[in-house]
Amino acid sequence: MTHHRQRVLSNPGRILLVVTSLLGAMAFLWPFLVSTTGSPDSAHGHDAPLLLLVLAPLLLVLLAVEVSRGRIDARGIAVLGILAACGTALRIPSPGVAGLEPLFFLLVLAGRVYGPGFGFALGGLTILVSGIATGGIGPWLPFQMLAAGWVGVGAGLLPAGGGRAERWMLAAYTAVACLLYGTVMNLWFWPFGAGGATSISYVPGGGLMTNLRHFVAFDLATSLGFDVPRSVLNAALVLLVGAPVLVALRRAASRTALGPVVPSRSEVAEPA
Amino acid sequence: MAASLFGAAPGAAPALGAAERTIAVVVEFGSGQGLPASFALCVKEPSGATDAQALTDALVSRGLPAPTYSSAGLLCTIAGYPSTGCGARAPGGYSYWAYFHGGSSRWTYATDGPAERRADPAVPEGWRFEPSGHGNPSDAAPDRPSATASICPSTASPANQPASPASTTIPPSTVGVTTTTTSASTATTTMAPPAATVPVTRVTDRTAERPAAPAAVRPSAGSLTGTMVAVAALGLLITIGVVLTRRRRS
Amino acid sequence: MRRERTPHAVAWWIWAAGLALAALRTSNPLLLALLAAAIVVVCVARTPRDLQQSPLATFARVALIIILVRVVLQIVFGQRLPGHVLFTLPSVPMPSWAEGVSIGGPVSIEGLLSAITGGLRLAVVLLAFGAANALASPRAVLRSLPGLLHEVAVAITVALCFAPEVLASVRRIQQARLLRGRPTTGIAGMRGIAVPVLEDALDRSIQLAASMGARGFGRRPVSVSLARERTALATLILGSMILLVGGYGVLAGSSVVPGAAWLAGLGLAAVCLGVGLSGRRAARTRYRPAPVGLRSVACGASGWLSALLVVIAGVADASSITWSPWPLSWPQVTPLAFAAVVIALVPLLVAPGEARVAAARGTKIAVS
Repeated sequence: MTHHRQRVLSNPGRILLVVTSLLGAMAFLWPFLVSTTGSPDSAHGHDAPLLLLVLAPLLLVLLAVEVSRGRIDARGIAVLGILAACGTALRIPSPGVAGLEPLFFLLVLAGRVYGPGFGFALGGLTILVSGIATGGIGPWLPFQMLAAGWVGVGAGLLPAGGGRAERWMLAAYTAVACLLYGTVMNLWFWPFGAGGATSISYVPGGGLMTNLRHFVAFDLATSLGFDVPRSVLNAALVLLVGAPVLVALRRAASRTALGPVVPSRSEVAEPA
Repeated sequence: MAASLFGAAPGAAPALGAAERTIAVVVEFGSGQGLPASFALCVKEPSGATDAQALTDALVSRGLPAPTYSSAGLLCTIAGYPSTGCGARAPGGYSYWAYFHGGSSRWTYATDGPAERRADPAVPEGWRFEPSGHGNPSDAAPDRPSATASICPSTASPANQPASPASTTIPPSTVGVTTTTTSASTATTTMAPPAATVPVTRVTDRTAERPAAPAAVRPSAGSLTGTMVAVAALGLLITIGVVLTRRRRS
Repeated sequence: MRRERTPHAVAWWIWAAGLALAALRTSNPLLLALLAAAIVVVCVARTPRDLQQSPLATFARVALIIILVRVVLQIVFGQRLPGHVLFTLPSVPMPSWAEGVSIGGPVSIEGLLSAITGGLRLAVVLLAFGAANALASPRAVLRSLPGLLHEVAVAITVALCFAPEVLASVRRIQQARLLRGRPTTGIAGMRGIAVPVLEDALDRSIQLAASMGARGFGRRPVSVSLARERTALATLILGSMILLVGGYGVLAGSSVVPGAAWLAGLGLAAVCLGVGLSGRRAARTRYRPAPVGLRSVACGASGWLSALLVVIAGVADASSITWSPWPLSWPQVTPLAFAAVVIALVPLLVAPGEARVAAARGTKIAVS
């Protein structure tokens, strides 16, 4: 495995992926990170959206580095573009902030077949392309791109295996990843969405436990009703449609000589 | 008028013959200039009232301006202090009103807001102005003792005191230099007839005494010209928008 | 070089970003309403499209939903700060683990006003994004990405071109299955449609890859030096790391990381430098590049000048940009804040009436 490790370490795209993911994690988790050191007035927390101005270009650069420096070559770009088109088509019947997007099922399967770097690129790109196609580029876009990218990375990092066990593992991962995606996006929305003057708002200086409690209440009250059906739908799709889709993806992978057909364990730590 | 509803205690309506309890409130201005170092107030609240309600009632009953809050719900001023800024950056931290829960031995930094906290006779509410605080439990607590017994020793027999001083409004800059327990008990006596009075009359009484807090705290609020001009401009912009939309459609 | 007739697509996005920042800086409902009106007027006056289908309308709907959600959250979970009580909801006792979370209780005018104002602030941000989507198609922005992003831009273009085809393919297979009396809905339908569509799409991708390869895609220009590329990447990575530390410092307050704002700025500069260094490696020509001139500069600058004026107005008189319903008072708009709104309208003067943005717009995906 040493040669594998060397390749991972010598790939600057991986380092950039980790650093950008950390920046993104900070952009999501800032209410908890600064819950005892931030300004006492949560109105000052409105400086946090400025992170978006940094995160968006950095994400694009990361995508570029993944695409041009990673294992994705000219043929890979064609597959990436067309899978992103499929993902966009899956999202279009359910546009908007919260919907039953069956996108994740494709994202998980593709990430599984083509590896974490491709999974990240596909997740980010699909969100970006559907944003462009529907004229829906909003402040949430970089955050959605990052979160969907993480779902793809996670799928690429799952342990090797095959047959029925693989499908159950992928379905379980899809269910968890979908829920986490919803929670993380809600975490982004929470400090602004709930305002400052409710009992489920972000409390500056309130400490970790208070803020966690408030966030859980906000999550339960606003979006769990959307997140659970989406998670169930995507996991069911992986179970029922997963096998033939995996076969199709693997055949294309062998024809384009793209990525690991059966992914080996990678050394990159999964970003938080 | 809606103003007559001001100060209607939360939970007052559903409470059947809610027993009133004495809530101890400690306010410390710290090193604020031209201000008293601290004062303690004791106020009667029906059960179910919040700490925020107790603070408002305590201040208003003494003729002081009601506390103001930021749009995010952070307490900005007590008795009109400070005159500018709300949780503003200050050298080494932020200047803001820190909120504490009392107890038999010490003050603890509150992690909840005064509006979420049910006023509790055993837990005095403490407010200390931090000129350069950090917004976390490392900020200094009030100097006064934290136990109800030492803040409001007269709790046992409030009805014996003469009911008068509430009407004499004390401007914030001259609130006695050492407003200690003596003046605290005067605040208690505002609610002189304890058992017989229904909450509603208590509320209207208080409204009558309440000084024009908005005008006192925000001098600019008096003039309406800025508002009128802005509303007119808004109307103009909306008209332009509607006209353009019509023309597009035809 | 062609003459500049309309502001560059990127300029519109810069204008919108500035106005979104301006909105985030204020909690004055009157100023927010003025900013919203200015954004809508500029968008309506300078968009050729029908308003009903404009992204502005979509974003306005989302903005309304957000205001509603905030009002509902305020009514159900609102903090019970003393105020003019409108009505009282029965309060629900909460379990001990949810201590601090309260449901129900008296609903005050002040609480509702604070929810509406907070929602309005988000609404203005959304309107700014909606206006940018309507005024300058993201596809037009795609054409002016720096060279480093060339491959990404290609992947995005491929996806944008194929998305309508995927939808058409879905429809075709749906019809075929209907004719054969097979299910087209539910899990069975999904399975019967998804697999052929995906196989079809993957076959196309292989064809596409072959034709891209035949046209020299993926070939590295000879002039690129490897050392320069490595330097660019190293600068990028270093920059993003500095940005990480600086960004945390800015969020957590200056006491945690000294000089956090400077660090964040330095990191950002390093990232830009990295992009610039690697950007020059793409030796490709652009077909009819959109010219950048005074119109674009004026358009982009007006948004940020507006944000700057809001900040200055706040420094001059904090009560002009911050407003709170506790206690109730009329919101004031000072001349400086007013100037911010007027400056936001500058694109009306710089951009010609019948914007030719439409020409740059690509095909729209049919949603049936």
